[in-house]
Amino acid sequence: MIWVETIVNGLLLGGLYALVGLGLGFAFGVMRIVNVAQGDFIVAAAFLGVFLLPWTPVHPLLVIIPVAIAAFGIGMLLQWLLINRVLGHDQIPQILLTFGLAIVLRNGMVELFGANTRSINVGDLRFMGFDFLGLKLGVLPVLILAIAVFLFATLHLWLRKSDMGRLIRATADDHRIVQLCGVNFRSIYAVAMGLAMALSAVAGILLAMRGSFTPYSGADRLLIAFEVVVIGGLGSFWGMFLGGMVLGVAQLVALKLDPASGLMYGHIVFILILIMSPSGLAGAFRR
Amino acid sequence: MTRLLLKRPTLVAAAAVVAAALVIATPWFVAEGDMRLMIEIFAVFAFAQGWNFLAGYVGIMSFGQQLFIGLGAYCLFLASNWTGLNPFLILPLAFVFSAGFAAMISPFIFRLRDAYLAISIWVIAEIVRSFISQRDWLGSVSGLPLVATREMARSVVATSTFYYAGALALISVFGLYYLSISRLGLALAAVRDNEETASAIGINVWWTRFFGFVLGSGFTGLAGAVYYMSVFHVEPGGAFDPNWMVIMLFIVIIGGVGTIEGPIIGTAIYFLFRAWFAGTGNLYLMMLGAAAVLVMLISPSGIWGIVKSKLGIDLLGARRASGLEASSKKTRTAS
Amino acid sequence: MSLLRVENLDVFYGDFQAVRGVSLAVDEGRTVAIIGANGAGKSTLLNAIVGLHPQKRGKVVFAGADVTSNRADAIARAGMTMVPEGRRLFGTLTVEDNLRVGAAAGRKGPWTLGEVYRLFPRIGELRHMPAASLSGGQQQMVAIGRALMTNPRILLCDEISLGLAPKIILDIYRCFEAISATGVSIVVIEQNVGQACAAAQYAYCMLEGKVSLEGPTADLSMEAITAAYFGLDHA
Repeated sequence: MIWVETIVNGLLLGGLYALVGLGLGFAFGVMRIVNVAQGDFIVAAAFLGVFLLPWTPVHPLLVIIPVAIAAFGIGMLLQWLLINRVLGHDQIPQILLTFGLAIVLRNGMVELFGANTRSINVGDLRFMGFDFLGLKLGVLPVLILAIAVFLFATLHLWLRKSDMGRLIRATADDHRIVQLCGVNFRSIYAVAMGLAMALSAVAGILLAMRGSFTPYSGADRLLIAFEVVVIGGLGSFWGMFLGGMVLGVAQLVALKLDPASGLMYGHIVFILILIMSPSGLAGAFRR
Repeated sequence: MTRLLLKRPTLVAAAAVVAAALVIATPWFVAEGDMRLMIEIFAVFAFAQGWNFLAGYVGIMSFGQQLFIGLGAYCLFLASNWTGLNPFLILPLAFVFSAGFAAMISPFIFRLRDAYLAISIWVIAEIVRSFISQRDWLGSVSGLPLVATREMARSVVATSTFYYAGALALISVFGLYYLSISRLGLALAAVRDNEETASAIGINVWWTRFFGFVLGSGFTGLAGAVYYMSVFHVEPGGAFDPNWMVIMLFIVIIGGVGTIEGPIIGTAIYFLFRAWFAGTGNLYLMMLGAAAVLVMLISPSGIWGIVKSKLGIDLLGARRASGLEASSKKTRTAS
Repeated sequence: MSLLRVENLDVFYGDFQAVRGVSLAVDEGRTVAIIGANGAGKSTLLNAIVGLHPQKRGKVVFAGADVTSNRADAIARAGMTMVPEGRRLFGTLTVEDNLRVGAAAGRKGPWTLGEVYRLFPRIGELRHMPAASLSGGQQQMVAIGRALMTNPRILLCDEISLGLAPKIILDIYRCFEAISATGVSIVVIEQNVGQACAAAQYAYCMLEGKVSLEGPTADLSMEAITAAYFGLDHA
């Protein structure tokens, strides 16, 4: 039973990991851009959450909303002011630019806030639990999974049904040709990056509610996001969800067996999947 | 044109001889403390040049070259501690081990591209770091000392390490130059610029990239071994520190990726930066990052790129690729 | 005054010059053909005119405004768009979504989803299919429909008959009459001389990046075109 509980908890964590990967995967799917600073932006969002928490009415969980809106704006600015200037056939400039940004952001946060471990306090919610079919589960982890599923589904539907979603999909298919339809792909990119950042910010807040973070957590967050996307098969939507689940379960099972292992077994599972199926888990089903 | 092409390798050879003579003479004129700093400068320059080789010549971007720094160092320390052999004699082992490790992982990571390839190497570095941190026979978190050098005379150790570091620096400049004008160098340039064209003219793209990656990573491992030999102690947190990557990237980006001269400038700037802002901690790292962002926005080809285009100076530019690029573009236009 | 005027346009790919000093003019409501062999610089010329290719020298004047250095999306919103070579549909989108993307230009005019389906009834039946699953001819119709959805004043068509069966080419060219009837100027680029000259009132022939012959299609003899097309007078 203890193992079933571990696996179920791994799935709950996995939903959050999937959300951590969603922003990175979405940005990659639309723009073929990998924002290496995504992990550090996730941490920055958590810091913003910590500071907005005292002003958040009704329930601490609602701090997600202002942070996501701020992240959307920052993402658009990032794309307009920086990344759009280095777009081109060569991917190296954009990757190095965001790498530089990651270093600035990480060390800036250490400088401003110190290297202490923090978390976002959601009050009693953190300790509430319930029994489900004999399993002891936390309310917060279940809620977080629900939020993750909701965001995946909403994004999916929005991309299918809305006008902007259609333009984003068209831009992802061929950003040169959408220009012939009067669409400035740079604006679409800015919206996409704003969305990617907003999704990442939500993930960052939820991670900070479930666990803790330091200004140095960005690297781990980025690696999780990256592994989710690769396991999911580079840009495959629900593949990423599966990728998150795999990582979450792998990590919790490994921690049960070897409490000092940290993220190591998650990384190893990632490498194993890469060895067995180069196009990720989704690649094994698709096409 | 022909005259220049014929003459330049000879000129470079002369410069190499002069530089080598300078390195050999240094221990007679320089105090041990300064030599230690020079060892560090040479080693860091070699790290940077190893990354530059991969990114600018092979076309593989890696965010995990700290993996090879650590592997090279650990390989040398363990081999010397276990067998009692003189670490200066078994140094090539660090190259062999790192290169072998690179060869082993390439089949898997080469399935990914660009940033994903770059980060997957970082993931492997993290795995190796956590693995070593949890194994007592590998020294766990607190690391390993280099036992053999304790019994040797300090000045012998310092001088020998200096010569190795000097050799690394020389190889990083002149070795890279001769490599870039060799057949392999031209094949690498062709693959980097356009994989389709390269394979169309009969170059095996996969093996060329593989060979470049193995060579560059082996060299980084060798440099890592030399660096940690000069500090006598290696621990996983330091050897596999992603900040090595920050330094390498900074040096190469600022100087100019894909050039030999650029990282020389970058290394000089990095160590000056460090000397001036040593006390400021994170501020100094922030400035490294901000400088990298600025260079990408202003001139992605770095400081040497600006020098080359504004002043028309080209010392070690072996990039005969420009002709290749132009012709590949012509074929594209026609289609 | 011409709707589109190109003056002395040079276009480059790096060091290579693909178009050399081309000048041309298209009047409102007219159809013009640009013919030439593969590699003559026709596609490069079109890409430069619609703003997809930035490396150029000279002048492109559209509806009285200099648009030489404008971006492609601004040019499309001003009323000049292109049906690209090889169709270049958004493959993962449905046929109807492809057409709706065209409407993003936000121009008012006669062309709506309904009008496009009336012009190409076949693609109306396929409107919920992914664009990539269509046949070449059907894709070409979607590509033309997508361009029409921007309600252009001038439509540039790059090699629309390439790789299509003769019957389908005929169908597509028949549609140009209907399009032209709504007052849209059309520029067709073709290797297929006969087809293009039949549809156009005026033709330019390109050879090695230059205009080697021009004139009203009625006045151009087949011999003169052949000579200009293959560069026989140089030989």
